Amino acid sequence: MKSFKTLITKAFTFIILIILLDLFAGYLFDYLEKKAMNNNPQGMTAEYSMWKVESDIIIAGASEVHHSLIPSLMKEKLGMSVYNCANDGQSFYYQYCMINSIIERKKPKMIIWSMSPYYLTSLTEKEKNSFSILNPFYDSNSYCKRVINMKSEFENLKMLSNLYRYNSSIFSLLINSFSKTNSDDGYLALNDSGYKYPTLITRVLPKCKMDTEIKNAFIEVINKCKESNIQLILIFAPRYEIDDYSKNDCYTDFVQIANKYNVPLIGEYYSSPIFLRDSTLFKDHAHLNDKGARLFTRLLCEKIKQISLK
Amino acid sequence: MTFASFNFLLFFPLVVILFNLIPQRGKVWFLLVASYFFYINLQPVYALLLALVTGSTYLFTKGIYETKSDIKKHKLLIWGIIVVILPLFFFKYFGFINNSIFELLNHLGLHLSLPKISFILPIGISFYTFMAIGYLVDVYNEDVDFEKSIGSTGLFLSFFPIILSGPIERAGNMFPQFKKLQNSTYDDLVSGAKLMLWGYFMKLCVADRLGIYVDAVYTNIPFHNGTTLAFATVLYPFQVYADLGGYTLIAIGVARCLGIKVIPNFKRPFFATSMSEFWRRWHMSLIQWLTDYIYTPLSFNLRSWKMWGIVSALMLTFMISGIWHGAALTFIIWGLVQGVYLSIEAAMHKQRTEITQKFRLNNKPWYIFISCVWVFVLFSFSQIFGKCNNVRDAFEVIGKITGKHGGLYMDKTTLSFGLFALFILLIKDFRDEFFPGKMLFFENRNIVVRYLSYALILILILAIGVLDSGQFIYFQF
Repeated sequence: MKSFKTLITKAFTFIILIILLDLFAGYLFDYLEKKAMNNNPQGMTAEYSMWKVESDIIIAGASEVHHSLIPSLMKEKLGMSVYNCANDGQSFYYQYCMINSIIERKKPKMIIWSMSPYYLTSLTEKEKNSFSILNPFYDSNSYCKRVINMKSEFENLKMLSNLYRYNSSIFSLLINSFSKTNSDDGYLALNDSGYKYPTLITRVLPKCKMDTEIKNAFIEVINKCKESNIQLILIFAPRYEIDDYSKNDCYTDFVQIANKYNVPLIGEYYSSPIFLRDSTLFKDHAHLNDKGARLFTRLLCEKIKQISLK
Repeated sequence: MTFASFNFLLFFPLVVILFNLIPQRGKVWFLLVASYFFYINLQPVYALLLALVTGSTYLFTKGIYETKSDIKKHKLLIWGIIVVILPLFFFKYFGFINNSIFELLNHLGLHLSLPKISFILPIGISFYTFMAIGYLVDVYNEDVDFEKSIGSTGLFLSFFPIILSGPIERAGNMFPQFKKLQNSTYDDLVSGAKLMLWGYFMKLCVADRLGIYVDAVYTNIPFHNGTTLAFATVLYPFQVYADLGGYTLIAIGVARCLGIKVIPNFKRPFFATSMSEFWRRWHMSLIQWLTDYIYTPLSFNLRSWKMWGIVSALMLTFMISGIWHGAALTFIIWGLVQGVYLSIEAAMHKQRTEITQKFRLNNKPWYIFISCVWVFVLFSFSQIFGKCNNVRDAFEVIGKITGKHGGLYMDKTTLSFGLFALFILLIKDFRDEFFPGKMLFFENRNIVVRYLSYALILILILAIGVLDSGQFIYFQF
């Protein structure tokens, strides 16, 4: 009985110690996060996009636009400030949270959203795991909270720990707190040499079905943009492959949604001969290098100008 | 539910509390129910298979125990092994053998289409099948008594801490403990919790972190150069060690919290100075099983062949070890490579011993260091076959490592966290190997040092651990 009491006392003491350390870690991470965001927005894309970005044009998407749309070039062509909020490896729900947060905080004039119809299919475990990038925003952002809670029924319990929230981010927080980079408003160039350029491949895209919940969330963003008088433009970024969409219902459904809600869709560069005839524009099948990014940005700006004039 | 899932963090304390509230005679049945609940949570249908294997094991061991005739006993043993191993063969090897026959016939110009059947492998089947076979043989050899309680037999084969990835336990160790199950003591709970904490650190901070890098490289072999592949190949043994070693420590810790002592599985393998020593430190429960039930009887039967008898027994034992790991040619080659290493070592044992004794090399740090590195290099090389999906990929990796070098693929976050955690793990192993009982943290007499050590490891798990992966490498075996 005595040893049982000792065990309880020691366990209780240990838990108190952990709670105190966790609280301290929370303050430390909060401080580092803000410092890092001010010092190096380029390295803190998620935080900067959610909390601070105030540009006229916002670019949303994943790596395919993070490395292929150059805000400085767009500003030159379109005469408006641009920020590339795209984040590598993040799919629909991250973009959903980010766009909603930006709209609620400051209404931009235009949102260019790089989409893949596959973003609207059922979530995989890997995609759910990628929601952890939203963990620091759990308490401050209702969209993030809703999305994180989709991972499991225990997320609200896990979020009680500050260390859990900032899991895996200590390295980037420290690096970005004590360094500054020359940011080009979110754009991250992929060098155009020093590797083997990709070879052209052909893919028949398999059948897929849209997830109703994700589809509704997508339509919710479209409607919110309309209500806020924000010009939403959907785009498909170029890939170095020829894709056959004929058996792919997601693609057809996606185009139907864009048409139904009258959202311009710039998809012609996806498997365009302009890009397909030159592999030196690509880092790999899915990503343009800096040379390709400059070409794509220029072409896209022309298209946007045409849309704006209509 | 796996050890790395949040559900387990709720399930485990509940089991410990209820276990301590239940009277002694109900403890075995309670753990049996908890174990099946744990297993059903992962693969509901295959719990029936587990029950079937348990029932067969019980009946055959009963038969062996009660039969007086040696011939009948032997027949029952053979049939018992066949019945117990049949599900493993069917689920794990049917597809492989079927495909191999099909390809062979195709090669010979006979285009016969055999039925293709594919199943999801029941988790833990390789482990509980080996435990069941071990129990059958032990009863046959009269090393252990037949266990009359079907509840104990059921618990032995389904005990939730060890069912998914071992250690491969022995009836002789488990049944006596099941008979004397008591409430957990203070020491049980504290020791168990410490083992679990370190196990989680190994799994979440080292194995899963290094795994991100290794998988990123090995799933894209054509896109990576020899430098990157060599680096990933060096990291992979550490990943496997931390993964299965971490899992084992959690398993041992969980069992310890219930007052049950499970056999260890690893003993600082990267400080082994020879391959034979390495295999006495790596996945010890499997190797001990293979030694007792395959290698020893084989080498005894082949003793008239002298050195060739040992070589044949080694090759066959490790080929079976390879096949146990997976139904693929890569695993067979992996096993044969181990067999070759050990055979060469066995053949040169006398000369090596003479030289080390003559120059007193065993006490020289530089000799120990070079030997450890050499063993690590040999094992890492063999693990290329353990990691690749097919032989062609493995040879592509070897070809690139020996020829095509270039810049190292970097994933700064993953590598910095992974290597930092690996450094801590290796320092701890180094301390345990060369300075046992010195520079203690978890076992320090000063309570402040002890608590801060626990806290630091827990903070590291929360801050740099990969908390959402949840899979263990050895689940696939």
